[in-house]
Amino acid sequence: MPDDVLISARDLTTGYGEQIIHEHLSFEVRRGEIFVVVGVSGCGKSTLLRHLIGLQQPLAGEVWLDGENLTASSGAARTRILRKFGVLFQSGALFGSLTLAENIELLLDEYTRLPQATKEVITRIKLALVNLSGYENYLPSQISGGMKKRAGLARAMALDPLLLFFDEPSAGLDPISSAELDRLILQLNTSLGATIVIVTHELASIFAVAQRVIMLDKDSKGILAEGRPADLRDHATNPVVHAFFNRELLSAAP
Amino acid sequence: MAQDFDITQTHDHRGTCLAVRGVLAVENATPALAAVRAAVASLPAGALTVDLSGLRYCDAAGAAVLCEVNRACHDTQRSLRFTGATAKVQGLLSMLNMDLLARPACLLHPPLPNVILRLGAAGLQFAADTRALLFFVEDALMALGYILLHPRAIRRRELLLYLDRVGVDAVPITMLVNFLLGVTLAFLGASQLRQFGANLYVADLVGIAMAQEIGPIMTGILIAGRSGAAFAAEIGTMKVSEEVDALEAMGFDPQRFLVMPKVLAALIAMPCLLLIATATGIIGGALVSMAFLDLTVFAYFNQVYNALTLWMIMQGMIKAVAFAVLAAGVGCMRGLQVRGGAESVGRYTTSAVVSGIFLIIIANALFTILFQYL
Repeated sequence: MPDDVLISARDLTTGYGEQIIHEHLSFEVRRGEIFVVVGVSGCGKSTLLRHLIGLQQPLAGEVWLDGENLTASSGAARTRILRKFGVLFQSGALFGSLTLAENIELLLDEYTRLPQATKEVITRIKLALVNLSGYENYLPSQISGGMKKRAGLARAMALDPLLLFFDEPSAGLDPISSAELDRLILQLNTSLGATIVIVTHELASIFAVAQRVIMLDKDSKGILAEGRPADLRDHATNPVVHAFFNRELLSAAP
Repeated sequence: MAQDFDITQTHDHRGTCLAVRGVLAVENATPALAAVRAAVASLPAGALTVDLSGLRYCDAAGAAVLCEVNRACHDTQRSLRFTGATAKVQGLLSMLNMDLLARPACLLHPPLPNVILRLGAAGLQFAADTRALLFFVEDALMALGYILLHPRAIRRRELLLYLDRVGVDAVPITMLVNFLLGVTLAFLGASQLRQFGANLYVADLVGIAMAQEIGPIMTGILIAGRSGAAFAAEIGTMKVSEEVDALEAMGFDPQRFLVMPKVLAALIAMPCLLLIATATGIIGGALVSMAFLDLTVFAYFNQVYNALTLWMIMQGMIKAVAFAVLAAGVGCMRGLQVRGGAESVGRYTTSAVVSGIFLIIIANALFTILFQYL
């Protein structure tokens, strides 16, 4: 595997029980890029994400992360792979019984042996990075949805992962918060060099951040298109891809 | 507006025409439906035209009446045409696909056709459930082993929190229930034993029953109802809000982070609760003995002291600890099985209590038989 490949999905077949969602799916995510998985609702974007982060085992095929096989790993080796990335879930998925600071410290407690004072400083740095300075002692139920997402992002970055996954980052956000999150994503990519994988169908967000997208297809259970979003918008020949990137009705023939 | 519509039939060379006039709305849909059915049934065969030019207002209920005409015509293979609709009515009609509406909606889980298949499905479900239980026990034992080897890995604050919830908060209800059970046992025993003049043995009855059987069972059931349900609901809600997914994606073992503090708290709290339960039960018996059996406090407690052996108390303790682990463990397991939304949380919380009590009763029977042979 070439050095610049960070994630590689190899011949992935996924599904629940007898229902197959993806078949023979293969793609690669390169180091340092912003990679976006798009597709119409129900095409299995979130399912693919759950496979990439190891929450679900594929029916066949493998997911390789930074040169290690996530699918076949277990125990301590798996934990080591999981530590390499952070995930921002759709609603933040903060632990409701812990404050924002404790949500982040939980990771530091588990994976580092730093003194308490250092952990506190790191926590404050992470929260400041997402504009949540001063909210250390708030509980997740006391802050707004957009703040929860940002706090979830701070937690995802707690261990300085080289890879970040985002599940529908702009879902449920107002346009301003959504744009702020886009800017933050770009910032993380350019300043920290983080590789970013996003699952979304929010066009504005896709055009703002994506360097490369793959579009999943519900019917063929595979990849419908791959490329830069602007290219797909202007030059796609497949009617579904064209309609998706131009926000048009599918029946409107050119 | 009871009957704001009327239906008239006319016949010409092109076929039959039904003219609908007035209003078709929620308020008069029921009589309208009956009238339409009667009209269509009485028609001669051939093409049907429905003239809507006199229809002033039509809502979704009215549209349902028109759909009924469509369905009736479809069933009798008669061609149907709507004509003359005003702009408003036409707007509504243009958004309806009547043929699609006439088809039955698809069922996600079609009911199984016969009893044998249903029994088979239930059997498979039971097998899957048992398998899940065994996997859960395996995971839990692994997590327990890890905790025993690395005692620092347990989050002490969580453990203390759950000790408070499972143990301290349960003290009042444990005392009340077991006190009344002690009173009941003493009354029951007294009415029988008095016939033989064996009043004093009420103390033996209450003491042994509370320490060995009733105390552990009642306290176990209280834990299943209070804490098993709470654990299932808590973990289930975390499952719904993706918090469990987040834990797993962070490389944390949900068994170790969610299940162990709760099960350990139940395990530690239970012997203390059982001591309190047994003591209050015996005190309840003492009050009855003094009031109705003319026993002195000293005689009663002396008799309890002589009747109870350390082994009897140990038996109760062993049972109690097992019950606590079962009730708390099955509560956590049900919580982790939650899929979907609020309805699922409710279902698995119920299941946590039912399975908890079931397991406690089974385990109690097994222990009682086992201890007979020790």
